[in-house]
Amino acid sequence: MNALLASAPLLLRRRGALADLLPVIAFAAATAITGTVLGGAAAFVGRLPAEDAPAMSGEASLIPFLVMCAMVASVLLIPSAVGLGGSAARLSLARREQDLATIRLVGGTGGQVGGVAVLDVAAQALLGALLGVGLHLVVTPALTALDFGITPFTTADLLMPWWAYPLLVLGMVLLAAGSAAVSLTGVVLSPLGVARDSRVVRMSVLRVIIWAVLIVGFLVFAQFGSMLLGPIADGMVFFAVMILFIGAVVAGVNVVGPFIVWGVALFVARTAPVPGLLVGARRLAADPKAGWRAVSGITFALVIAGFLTVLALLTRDDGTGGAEDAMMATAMSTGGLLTLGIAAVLAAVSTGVTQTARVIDQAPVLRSQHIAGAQVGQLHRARIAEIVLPVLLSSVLATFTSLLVVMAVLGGAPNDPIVAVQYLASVLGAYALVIAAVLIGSPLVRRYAERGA
Amino acid sequence: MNTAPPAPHQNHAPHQGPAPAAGAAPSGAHPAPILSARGLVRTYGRDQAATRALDGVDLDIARADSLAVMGPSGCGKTTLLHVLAGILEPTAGTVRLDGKNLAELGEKRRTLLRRSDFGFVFQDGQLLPELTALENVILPRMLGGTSRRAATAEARSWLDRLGLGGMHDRRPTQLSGGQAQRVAVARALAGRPSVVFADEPTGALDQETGRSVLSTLVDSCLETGASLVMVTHDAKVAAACRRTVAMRDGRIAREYVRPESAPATAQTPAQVAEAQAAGMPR
Repeated sequence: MNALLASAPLLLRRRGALADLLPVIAFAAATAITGTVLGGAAAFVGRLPAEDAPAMSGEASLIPFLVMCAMVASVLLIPSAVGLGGSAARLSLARREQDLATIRLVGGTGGQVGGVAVLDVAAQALLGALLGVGLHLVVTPALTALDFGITPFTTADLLMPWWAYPLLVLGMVLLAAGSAAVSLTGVVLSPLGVARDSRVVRMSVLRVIIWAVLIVGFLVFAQFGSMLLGPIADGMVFFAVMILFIGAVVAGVNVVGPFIVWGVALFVARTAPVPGLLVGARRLAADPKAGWRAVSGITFALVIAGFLTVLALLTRDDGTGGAEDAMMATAMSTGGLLTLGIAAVLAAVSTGVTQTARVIDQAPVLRSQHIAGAQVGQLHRARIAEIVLPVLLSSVLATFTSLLVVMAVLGGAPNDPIVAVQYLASVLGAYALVIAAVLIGSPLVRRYAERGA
Repeated sequence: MNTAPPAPHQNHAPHQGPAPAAGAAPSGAHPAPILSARGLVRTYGRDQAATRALDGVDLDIARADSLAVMGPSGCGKTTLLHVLAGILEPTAGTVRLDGKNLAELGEKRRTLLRRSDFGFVFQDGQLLPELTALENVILPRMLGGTSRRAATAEARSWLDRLGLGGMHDRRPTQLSGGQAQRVAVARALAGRPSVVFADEPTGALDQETGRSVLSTLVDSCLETGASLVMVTHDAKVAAACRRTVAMRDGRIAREYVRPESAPATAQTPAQVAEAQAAGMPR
């Protein structure tokens, strides 16, 4: 172990500022978002009245419902933030594979190589997590200005207890190390280079079945949950199970998404009339999980936007209700926008980071294609096809999922045109985010393609 | 769609046996070379750190001729190939393709020219790993505006001709090194280029596979009338070309022309001896 620690800094050469920075940015964003969401949820829980409190009225009567909403937001946001951490770990490891093969060549054992890889990812996660905690501490005072319609939160309310921060950092480091270790099991690092499973990717139809089962389960519970739970159906238990089902259905989008991307990409690749579409679709078909990961943040943001659009409509204060209705409307509107904002940040970071990383990974191919006569514009078009296809599919899937959940909860589809208009605006916002992510990587494409020319 | 390659050009030069070219005298048997370089200089770095990779290279390449560029590591052979192909701009001197000065074309037109007039075969094939063999071959044609249907018909014909029938839908990772390199040859030739540039095309292959790929490359170029410029450090590989130039310190040190009667698959003893004398690996 001592030899490993002593030699690791020598063995792992730096990869260039941007390549090193990307995983750190992702770890920092994941940590900051997790800390902020947990702190916010805890602040609402802290306002819960004592169980033996007399009959509640005014603000106190709304708190249990707002706590439930905070829990829903946490269930939706934290898995995505954690997922971003896992993606960052895989991203960091993928850049290192050639270095690790070199370490095997100069005499490193399999265990040492694995150790170096995990240590490297953990070190980046530690740096990112510390930056993320700092970011969370900097942002939190600004969040006290948000008006939830209830007594404003103080900075102290929105921060987690001090002991939670070391745990958060440790959790992120362990998550990263675990993800790296799992990723290493799919790669053989031999002294002669990196061997990867080269079989043609096939997505299992099991993914569709799992998602279908989740949807059916959710629909059945929404319809017959009260009956199934019997005497414990009232109150929090029913809501807790419902929240878990909603979380599972939303998470299930990430299970079925790669399958749909794979199927559509295969079809498009076989029929693509233009080279950009051919290359983009083939890249997606070769690694549909990576293609989906690049847009999963956007999908998730769109699902949330779908929920919120309807929820905001339901809780809209038309002036005829009392003070509690107005409070509720403000709380839902602010909370909804905050959740959507955080989801948008998650989507922006995950899309920007994964897109830039893909450009870095493709640098040698971009160069050889340009040498062989592909213009930089054509290389851009292949990238655009690679991202547009999953984005279009993800918006369809996100719309379907949010509509399904909303219909199950409300017992019918929302028929107010404002809902459609607001949701469409969210979809356009998501597309703008993707365009921005593609543009961020564009100068790199030119630089790599024309390197040495 | 006519997928048959054009008739081979009958323009092998009568210039035979070792010739003391010393970098300045191109083989003068071809009145209108397809590719012509004069006074090529290429410097990397500046001031104290400047390195002259090319130091006054003159070279003519005839239509349907084959030329091997040999030399030890760092002698400038890959730089020469990149400058001839318009990938790098020379610090001084000119490269003309069919009379057109590449330096006057600008980067965009040079890129188009590489697509339409040049083909490339790299040491490791550089195939797109996600695309099938067939798609790798049709891609440059589609980039050039050919419809997928037409490009596919042409590519199928080329893959079949190069012994890859039944492997059209395989990915590069599902092909052996030799098969992948044949796909790269098909890709280079499918666009019917004027010149094919090959950089150590057999460098990553075993001897037998390398020989087979090499003869495929040379024969296919000859059949289609494409000129071949091949960089190699291996005298036996160079022997497959009609002409060989040996580089040293950025200059052409010697030139060999294979006698018309000699077989194209083996270096003559005299050539091997010359190559060794020039300090090149055998």
